[in-house]
Amino acid sequence: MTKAPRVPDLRWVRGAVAIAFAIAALTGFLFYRYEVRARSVASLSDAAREELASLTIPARATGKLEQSWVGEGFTTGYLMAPVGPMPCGGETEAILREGDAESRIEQLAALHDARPEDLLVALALGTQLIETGRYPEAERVTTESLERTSDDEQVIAAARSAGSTLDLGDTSVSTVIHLHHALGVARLSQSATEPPWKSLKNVIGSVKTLSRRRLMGTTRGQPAWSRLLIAAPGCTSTAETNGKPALSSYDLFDNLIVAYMRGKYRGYPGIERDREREFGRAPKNYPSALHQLLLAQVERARANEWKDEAQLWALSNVEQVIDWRLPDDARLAVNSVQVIDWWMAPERCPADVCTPELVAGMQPIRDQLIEQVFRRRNVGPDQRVELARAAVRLLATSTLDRKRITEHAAAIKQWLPPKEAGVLQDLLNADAARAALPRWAFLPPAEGEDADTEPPYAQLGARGERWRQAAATDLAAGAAQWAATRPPHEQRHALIAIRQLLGAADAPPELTALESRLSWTDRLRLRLSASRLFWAIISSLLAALLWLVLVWIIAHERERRLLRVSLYNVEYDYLAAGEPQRPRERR
Amino acid sequence: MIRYLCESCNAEREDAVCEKCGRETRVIEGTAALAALPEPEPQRPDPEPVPEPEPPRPEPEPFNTMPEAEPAPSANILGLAEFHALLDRGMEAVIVCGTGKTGKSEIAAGFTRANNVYRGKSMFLTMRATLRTDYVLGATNADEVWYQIIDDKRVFLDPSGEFFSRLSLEYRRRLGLADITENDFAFVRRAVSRMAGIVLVVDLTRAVDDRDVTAWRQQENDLSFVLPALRWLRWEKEARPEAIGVTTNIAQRANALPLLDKPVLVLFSKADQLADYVNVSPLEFAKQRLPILHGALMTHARRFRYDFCHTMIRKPGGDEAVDNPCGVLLPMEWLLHDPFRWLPFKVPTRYLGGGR
Repeated sequence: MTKAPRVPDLRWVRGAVAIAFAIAALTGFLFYRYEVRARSVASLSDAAREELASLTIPARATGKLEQSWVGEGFTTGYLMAPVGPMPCGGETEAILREGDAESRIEQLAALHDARPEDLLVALALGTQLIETGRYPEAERVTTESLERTSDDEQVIAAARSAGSTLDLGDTSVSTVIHLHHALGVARLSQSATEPPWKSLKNVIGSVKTLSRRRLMGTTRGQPAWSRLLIAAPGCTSTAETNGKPALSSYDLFDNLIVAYMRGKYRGYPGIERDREREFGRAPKNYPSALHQLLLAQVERARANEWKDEAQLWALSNVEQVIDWRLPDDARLAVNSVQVIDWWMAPERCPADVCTPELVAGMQPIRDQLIEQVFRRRNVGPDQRVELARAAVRLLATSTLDRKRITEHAAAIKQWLPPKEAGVLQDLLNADAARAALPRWAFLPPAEGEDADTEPPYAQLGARGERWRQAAATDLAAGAAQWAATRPPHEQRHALIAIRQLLGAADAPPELTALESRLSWTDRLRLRLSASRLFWAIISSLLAALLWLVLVWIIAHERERRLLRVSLYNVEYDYLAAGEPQRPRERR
Repeated sequence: MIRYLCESCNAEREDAVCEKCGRETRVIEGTAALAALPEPEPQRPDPEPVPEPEPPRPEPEPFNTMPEAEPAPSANILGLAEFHALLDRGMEAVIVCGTGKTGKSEIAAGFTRANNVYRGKSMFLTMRATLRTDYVLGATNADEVWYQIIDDKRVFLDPSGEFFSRLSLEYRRRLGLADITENDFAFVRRAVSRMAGIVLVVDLTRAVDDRDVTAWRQQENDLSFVLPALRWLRWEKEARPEAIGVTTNIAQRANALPLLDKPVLVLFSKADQLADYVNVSPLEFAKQRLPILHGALMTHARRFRYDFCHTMIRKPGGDEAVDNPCGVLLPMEWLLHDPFRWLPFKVPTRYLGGGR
């Protein structure tokens, strides 16, 4: 194709249209920025912004989102206390020092066969069998040994009647306790076996005897639900024995709670009396939220033919433990929170039981227990990952100030696989971001601070954008509560700024409640003037209109100029320049 | 059968243009009357009866066309049915107006050629009733409309010059013919309703005297009637009272109707022979030398422009089409491809310097 003749004004027309587009786009952008800024938080007074910046954001939407982070991979069961340490002294100690586990079991079994009435040998053999995972054999050995002796019945009888005397040495009492605990562990470790209610309950009762005697690690007169350390039989110290920590009353409670939560309580003769003893509580002037929850659930169970009774006993034990003192035991704290959560699940806790006040009252208790999990983290290596996962899951559901456990979280993080450790780190970062967000959102950058400072949620990485939206909802909730106290003019201004800040995120109830006081036309005006999309549309329309006007002028100027041009001459000059054949001579 | 006399070759011909020399011929008196007699047409089931032709009259100058009494009904216009079928397909028409031998067909063909050569948009010439000589289209037959496809949406309508001669009031006065009837617009009626633009072709070589300011008055007058007639055809919705003739009706109604909304391009053809004029702006030329036509455009057209063009060169043996037509491509593109067509509230050309 030959290079063609063109209308001479083509270049300037195209350039002019492009410049018109640039002018229109710039005008539209400036208009948009001006209108949005005039309605943003930047337009609020300095005093208002200072007040807003000091708000504490409720962790509602963000909390819900953070809970979804632990939705998968963090599910744990109830943590069972392991079997206690081996006894000290005697023939067993020599055997336990030598060979591998199998040879030790063989030697202990031979000794047990020779002296079946020796409870220390039975305890050593049972403990060794449990540690090697041979639970049925351990259960058989400990059960047979306890059947052959009446020591445990003496201990229990002494525990039940105050002021009675017990003709047994500390070692024998400790042996009975450790044997019952070992039997409990053996039975709990077998899923098909009925939880050893009697064994587990009796062993806790036995602790009272030790308490009365001021054993090492106990205080005279302390109740069984305080943390009493029980020296292994024959040992003089409650410090670690053979690399294992001493058994504590919390371990006994722990396994009892696990058993209750796993099992189904069946009625038996005299259960009514036992119920009265277990669930009966002295009236309190200032009952805790947990106390109220227990009483309400007991009343509910009574009306429902004691449905979920075993779990109710678990709750009762948790309440007893916590009512005395916050347990400084990570395992018991984890299990306690799980029992509380089980009973506060919506299907078991209707609105008339779990009132907002009760739920709010439970939060500090949960938070303290969860903090205790991070602080104590006193579990063996085989339970560390499970405890860490439970701790992360519970942290996500708590309102705990996560700064308080930052140091301890670092230790917990080391127990977790990298992905799950990342979730824990994100939870800590999210809490820090939540605290920093009001200042970042409401106050201009301080002098010397870069205007494009990273937002506080930048450290959340891929989770950041969704978290920002949830945080906007929470931020709007806090700001709406503040706005409710302001004079009408300032309130309206603040509402627009809050709505703009909220963007596409869900509006919190506080904001909608405040807006509902306005007429629908006012609400519509408020929503539109706060909407960035609305101003974007208006700005685009303005830009389009301006561009249209400019193009209209360009088009008419082109037409005016073109009217005077002889296109014949344009083509003629083109032909004359390039073609040898000229149609005619002229000029 | 109409017979023609070529005065150059002094020989009788069957065609309006001499095949030998390419010059115009003259109708031999008496043959036109014979040709006007109705002929049996087996393909057309109900041919309208052709009324008795008026006796032939002497040829009016400068229109070298055959005298005719009554317009041909649309069914008898060669090519019109096919053209209407194109309109039914959604095509739009660019109506090329001008009296006989002004170069209308060559302009349409020249644009097709230039569009191919310069823009790479190929289109072949559609068939016509007859092809006179090699590489020269020659005149469109009387009672024939030729059409040339521009692209898939538009088509040139190139009616025979005789149709426009019939619309010439002066021509009718000379021949003592009755007023125009609505049948006289049959060749263009449907095209007007689906119009993309109008091309008015003025042959400036047909001057009585170049020094006379009224040298082209005849063509100006003819086109000054065509413009309001097209405006009237496009917009008039009211029924015409029978007592009022068509021309009177157009005169009375046209100015009350909206302006022609499609662009009007006035092309001064055969510019290769107009060396004295082409150096001035075509607008200024029209304002000074064609004031009647310019006034008509200001009155009836919203958007218009003037330009010169030539598609052939004159040679001793006769006119010959040039490979690169001049003044056809860009003006036609102005007509067909207005990049700002979509803009609303366009100001008429007369307010953009195209006025008096």
